[in-house]
Amino acid sequence: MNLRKRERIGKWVLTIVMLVLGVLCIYPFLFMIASTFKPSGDVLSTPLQLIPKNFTLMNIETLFNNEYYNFGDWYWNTIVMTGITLLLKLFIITITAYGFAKIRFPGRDAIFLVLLAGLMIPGDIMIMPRYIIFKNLGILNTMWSLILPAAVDVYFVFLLRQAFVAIPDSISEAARIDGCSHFTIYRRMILPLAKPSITTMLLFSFVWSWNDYMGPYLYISDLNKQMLSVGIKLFAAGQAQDYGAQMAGATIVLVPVIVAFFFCQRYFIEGVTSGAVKG
Amino acid sequence: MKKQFALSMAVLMAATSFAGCGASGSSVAASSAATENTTTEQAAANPDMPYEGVTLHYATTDTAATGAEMLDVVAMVKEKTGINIEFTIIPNPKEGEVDKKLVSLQAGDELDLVYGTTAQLKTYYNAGVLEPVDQLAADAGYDMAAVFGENLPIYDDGKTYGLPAFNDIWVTFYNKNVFDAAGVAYPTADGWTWDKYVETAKQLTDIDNNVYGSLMLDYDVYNYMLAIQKGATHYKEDGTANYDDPRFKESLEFYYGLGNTEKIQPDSTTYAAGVFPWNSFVTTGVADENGKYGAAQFGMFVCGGWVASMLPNAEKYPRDWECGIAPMPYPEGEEPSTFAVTGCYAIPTTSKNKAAAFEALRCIAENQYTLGYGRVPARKDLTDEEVLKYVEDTMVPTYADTDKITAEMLKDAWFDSNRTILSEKVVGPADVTISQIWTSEGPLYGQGQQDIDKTIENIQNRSNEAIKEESAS
Amino acid sequence: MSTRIHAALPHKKMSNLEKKEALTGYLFVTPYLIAFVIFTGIPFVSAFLLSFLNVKYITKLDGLKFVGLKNFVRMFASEETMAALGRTAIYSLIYVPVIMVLSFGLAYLLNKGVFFKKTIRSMVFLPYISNMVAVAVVFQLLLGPRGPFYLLQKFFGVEDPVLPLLSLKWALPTVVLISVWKSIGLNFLTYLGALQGVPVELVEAAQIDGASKWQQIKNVVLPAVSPTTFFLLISSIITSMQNFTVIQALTEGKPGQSTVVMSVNIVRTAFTKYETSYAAAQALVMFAIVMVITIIQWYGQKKWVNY
Repeated sequence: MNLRKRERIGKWVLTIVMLVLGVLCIYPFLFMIASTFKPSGDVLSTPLQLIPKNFTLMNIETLFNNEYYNFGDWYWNTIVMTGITLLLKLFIITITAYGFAKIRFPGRDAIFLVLLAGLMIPGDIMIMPRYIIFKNLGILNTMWSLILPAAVDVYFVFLLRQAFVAIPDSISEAARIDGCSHFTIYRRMILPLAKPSITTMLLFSFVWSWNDYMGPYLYISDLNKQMLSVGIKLFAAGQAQDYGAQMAGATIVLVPVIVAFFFCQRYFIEGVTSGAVKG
Repeated sequence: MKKQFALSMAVLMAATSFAGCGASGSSVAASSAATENTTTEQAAANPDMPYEGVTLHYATTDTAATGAEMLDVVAMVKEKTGINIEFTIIPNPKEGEVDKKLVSLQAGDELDLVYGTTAQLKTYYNAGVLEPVDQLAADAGYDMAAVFGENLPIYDDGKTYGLPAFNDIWVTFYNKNVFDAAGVAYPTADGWTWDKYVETAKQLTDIDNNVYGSLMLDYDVYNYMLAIQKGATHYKEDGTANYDDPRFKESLEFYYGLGNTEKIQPDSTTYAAGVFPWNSFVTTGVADENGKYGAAQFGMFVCGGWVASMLPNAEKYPRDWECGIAPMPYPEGEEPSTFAVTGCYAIPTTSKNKAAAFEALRCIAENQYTLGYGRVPARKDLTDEEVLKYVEDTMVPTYADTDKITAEMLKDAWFDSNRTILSEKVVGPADVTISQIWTSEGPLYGQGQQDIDKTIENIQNRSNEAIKEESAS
Repeated sequence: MSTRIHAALPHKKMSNLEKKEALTGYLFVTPYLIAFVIFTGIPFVSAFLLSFLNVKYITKLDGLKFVGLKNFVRMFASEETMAALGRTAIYSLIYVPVIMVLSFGLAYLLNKGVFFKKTIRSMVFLPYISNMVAVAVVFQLLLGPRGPFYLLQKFFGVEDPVLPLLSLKWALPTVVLISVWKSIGLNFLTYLGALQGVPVELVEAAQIDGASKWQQIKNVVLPAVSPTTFFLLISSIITSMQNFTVIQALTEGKPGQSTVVMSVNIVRTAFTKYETSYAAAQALVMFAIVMVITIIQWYGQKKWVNY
């Protein structure tokens, strides 16, 4: 009894410590969200308020009632771009990972190692060559210049290959003997078994595409084709140090990601924790 | 499982059909471009407007494109030449970021007009993406030198790479309200020296009430301002950096001293921390019933003439006080001087319609100042009467509603031919890097993190290194 | 991370079945490979070639010359670039240990059993999904002269309170810690998953043997999660070198040059100074460094990674 009581106290102490650390992690967000609803002058008033003293929707209005900045368009563009990226990845990354994990062909491992090296290339150096390639493909200033490079992301080919390798060969070999084609095994057996890993890929890809700044900044020119992350930067530049409006901008970029996170967190946390990255 | 697969296939099909849409979309664009070309040819019939109906692409930032001035420029070009200007929106890079306009020009994107200061366009010239306009001017029978004189952007190879539209000349803006409250007389052009400026600012400063006598930003030029006004140059005769000249040390001490020791303006640390935005001078707001302002007030603001364009914008910058304009202060014992940058328009090599672009260029360069946005024309062919007429008929009305700035003030600040005009920017080998060196090293001294001698030594050595690197490659 | 490299295929003639199998394999991976070659392969190869030439502006290729290793020599002779390389090393040397220890520690404690486990888990992960460009403003405010950090220092009587992002000494460590904050979520969750996979019997057996908490961690838990540690170590090292966005958003390389690391230096060389070839050479050296570190770890893993 005494021991159990002590254990309980220990658990509570640990909980409090962890909660404090957790709050530290999300403090910047709390401040950001709170500031969205403060008049700009109050953002930096001391002491910093986590609950707005003078609650206002002014900043949100500035954001959406601005004739120069079309947040509606930017939202929509970003949603479409991210959506297509995810769909494309869902297909191309999984099938490639399957190829590298479950089919034997000459040169497989060598090719895979070359891909892995691709993970380590500093991206900045590819800006100019990519720009010219996009131009020649005629996809410059379209969302395809963001979607296609994102779809050949090496990281998840690697991750999913690891996950697929971890699924015992005996399962797929039995099916092979039964005369199933690789494509059938891929879609009937491997995909469902690797669902957590795939959800993980989708969520991370969502976050990366949604938050990508350099891509749209460089490859999209038209204001009405622009993405949200560059859009809020343009908006912030126009607002000088109107911190309230800037915070509102930061908040509306974040909200969809948080929503997405809470919707798939069950799957995706399973994914990360169940060996998708353990290999 | 079957259902899931069907779903993902459906989604995939949707995605591919989307791709199809994209492709057909671009072919529509292509065909409309083709119709545009045919209209061009048809329109060439009108002898007064040989380029009527031609559409040119002008690369600019969103803020500029949505501003009233640029829209008026477009309307003016349309009216005078029949040429349509369409915007290609390209954001401005921040320091150290990729200049997308240049990336896009290097990759061969078609653009017909770009804007830049003489210094900015030099990078474009170095990249070989600008078209020399000498031949175009000769074809059009146009004598550029007679109109623009030394304001023309002429680079190392002796060719002209654009036409200048306006000069941005540095002045002192002042808040009459702050002067009145402190019972101090407004600054006048006569003998407006830095000593006087500092003395006046001290009288105005009232930190307890959030009033600063002076405001300056963090541009490169503030660091070396005093040295250049005292006749120092950025480069020695042999092409190396000249920052070991004692005047640069004095200049740094002067500028950062204004905030740190004189305490007449926010110190460098406070400014860098973002407490006061670059437009603080005009964002004071309107006084409440107790006569208090929501934001800090600044008595004087030494900056480029472009600040004036914010003054008439009562909607974006509501305020209840009037702004006056005085010339730029100069060092005691020296001749009056000020700084300027020249804003130019140029034609990229990727333009497919250079003759029409030149026509538009010429129209903008000659006339943009007449639109009433307080621009100082870069033209050298205007007579004194023409200038006077411009000041009285166009500039004065621009500020009549908000500030009642007089023709006298404007003439003293912007049209004084006795005042030496110095370049605001470093112009020469490795200039962009040197400018970055100033803005990264200067504040270290200003914020007490590095002593003055070390700072000057770093600026000198790093600049020399940059000059050497540039000439070596 | 058991990248099971299968034994090289025997070089005998392939049977029909094997041929068919190989064909299917190529069919599966070819679409991806084509796209990979276009969007990563060709750009990389052109960067590689550029590094041996003297290209400044790619529009001015008239004086094009093969300069051999000149760009590389120049890089190692340049004090500024070497200083930037040094800062990258400092960055990685802080970033990697801090993120590894913290993420393991947090995951271990959370796994020990706490209340509100899911809430805490989400809280720690949340920064990972944020947009750095947007969040940078928040940090600038929080660490500025009106922010809580400054006021706390004042409250505790610090005479000359530090503004971390503006201080020559503290800017780099601060930027590193902010990026740890940003990225810790992924490492944390991964460790959490690995820890759940550690067999309870092993830990209990150690307890019965009278092992202290620390001994339990050292002898049982750490070895059990070593494959995860290995994977996270490599990915964290790679992340620690690709930090341009974080730094550009927070400090733009300032104050002075205190946060100009290699990634910033490369972008500046390429797009402020327009020394395309020189920048390509620098990027290539970074690539080689990461590659060498990874290979060393790959061969070193036998010593401490248990599969």
